[in-house]
Amino acid sequence: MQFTETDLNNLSLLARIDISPSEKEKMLHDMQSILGYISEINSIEGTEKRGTETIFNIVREDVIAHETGSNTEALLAEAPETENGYVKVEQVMK
Amino acid sequence: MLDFRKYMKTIKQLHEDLKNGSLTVEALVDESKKTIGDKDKDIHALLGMYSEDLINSQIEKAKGMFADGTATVLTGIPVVIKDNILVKGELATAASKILENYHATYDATVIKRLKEAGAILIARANMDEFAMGGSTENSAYGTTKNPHNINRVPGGSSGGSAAVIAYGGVPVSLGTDTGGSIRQPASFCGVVGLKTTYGDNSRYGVMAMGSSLDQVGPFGKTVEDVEEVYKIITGNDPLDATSLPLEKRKHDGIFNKKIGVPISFINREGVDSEVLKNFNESLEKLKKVGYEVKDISINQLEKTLSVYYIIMFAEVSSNLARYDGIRYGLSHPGETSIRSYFESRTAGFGPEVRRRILLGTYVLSSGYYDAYYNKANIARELLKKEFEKVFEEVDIIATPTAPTTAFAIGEKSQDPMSMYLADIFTVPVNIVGVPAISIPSGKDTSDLPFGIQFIASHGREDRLFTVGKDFEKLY
Repeated sequence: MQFTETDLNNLSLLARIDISPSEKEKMLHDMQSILGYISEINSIEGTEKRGTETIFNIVREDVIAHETGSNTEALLAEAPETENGYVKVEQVMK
Repeated sequence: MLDFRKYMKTIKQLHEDLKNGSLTVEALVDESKKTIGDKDKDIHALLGMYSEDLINSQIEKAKGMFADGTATVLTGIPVVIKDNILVKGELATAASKILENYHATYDATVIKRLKEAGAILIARANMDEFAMGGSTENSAYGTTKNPHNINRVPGGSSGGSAAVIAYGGVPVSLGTDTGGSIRQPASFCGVVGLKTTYGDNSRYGVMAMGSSLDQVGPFGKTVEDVEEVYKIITGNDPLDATSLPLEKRKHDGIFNKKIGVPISFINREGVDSEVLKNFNESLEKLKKVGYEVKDISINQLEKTLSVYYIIMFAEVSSNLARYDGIRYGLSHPGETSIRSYFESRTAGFGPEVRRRILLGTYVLSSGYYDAYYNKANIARELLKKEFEKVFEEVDIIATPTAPTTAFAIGEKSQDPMSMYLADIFTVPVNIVGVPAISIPSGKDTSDLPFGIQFIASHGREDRLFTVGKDFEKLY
């Protein structure tokens, strides 16, 4: 398995994380070393699925959990930019 | 002046003193603050104190509970909380720059339970950023030092929660454990640390790292102290769909004092000879007090580190997608809306967090999903089945908690793979979802603590407390 700089650039785009030219070499080296190690998993054989004993539905009544707006102020206080009770973001389409 | 150590023995003793009036809640909290003031400038176990408003309101509540006879064993007891657990109105940074100014908007369920029990939350513990690491060197706010030797790491990721116990700042604290993040620092700092059964307590309000692996758990100086905190935080919570309903918790069967040891797995390259010697001595001591020790073999253990890292990377990349600089946390506006994500996340996340997000994105990407993530899930099921089988024969599995005692600051920080290998004995527990405890087992020739890990089957924390209390008496 080869993990290349192109792969790293693609992951960077998918994960929304920039990798600066100065850290690229080390990141590439670390990722190659880690992926090399965990590739031992490729040899696992089997078709086991998660046991149904530990998976079950959790349901609740579809009721209003709290008064509308009771958390709005606290939540908006954490947002970087707000306007008229909304979180403000960059224009998406120009 | 109070001799703080006198009051640091067990929380049950503190409780008696508080109840009979020989100690006041204020005096206890003051001593805790004083010890922290003296020691933390060298150790840096803490990221900050909680607000005076919070501390004082809990002191008032605790006094009221003693006055009206509703006090619990935790009432008036100062507690430190790992900084990835939300306390309403207080800073909660997960030791990351991306949450530098983030204030929690609600209480985690475990915090709600501590508050209701009358505990005094006093400070936020340092940790590896978003609980990713085994040394606290990945904190964006500086490394915690090991109180036994300040040139050594305290372990991690819950290094601050362990170190503050070791220097006597508080009797008990909370940490989180995804692959050993409570047990390994407990071992390195010479304290007791418990990782509970997956689903034992609520993860609501705990910043998610690996959602199928994470659990909150307590640190303390004794097994009894850890058990008391466990009793307060355990329980089902409708706000966490993975917390186990009470009827799904098994508590039957006889405790036969049979300990299984995967000998060939433990005798491996990278495990320090002093650690092995200490571990074998511990087993001999247990035999003398009536425990039977037998060799067990679990084939899938050899691949557990890979299984753990693949599943954890995958869950990290999904969970940390929420930190986008838009709704809360650090925000670096870019030229376009999509560039804002890049700018905020690149500035806010440290190197280890970025690396894990990239690795998780890789193992989940089309083309590699089957080769990594699916294979890891198959191996996880195989390991679970092997554990179930072993627990038909033995009550407890024992291993050293970590392959070495506390390593030097800087020793592994430049080589992530060497840091990952230090988790070899702790990660199987999270993969399978069983409970485990780390208990001090003496010191090495450099005067650094050893730890022994006991593992029980699902829901059998009671067995860990039994063997733990028996073991404590031997050291």
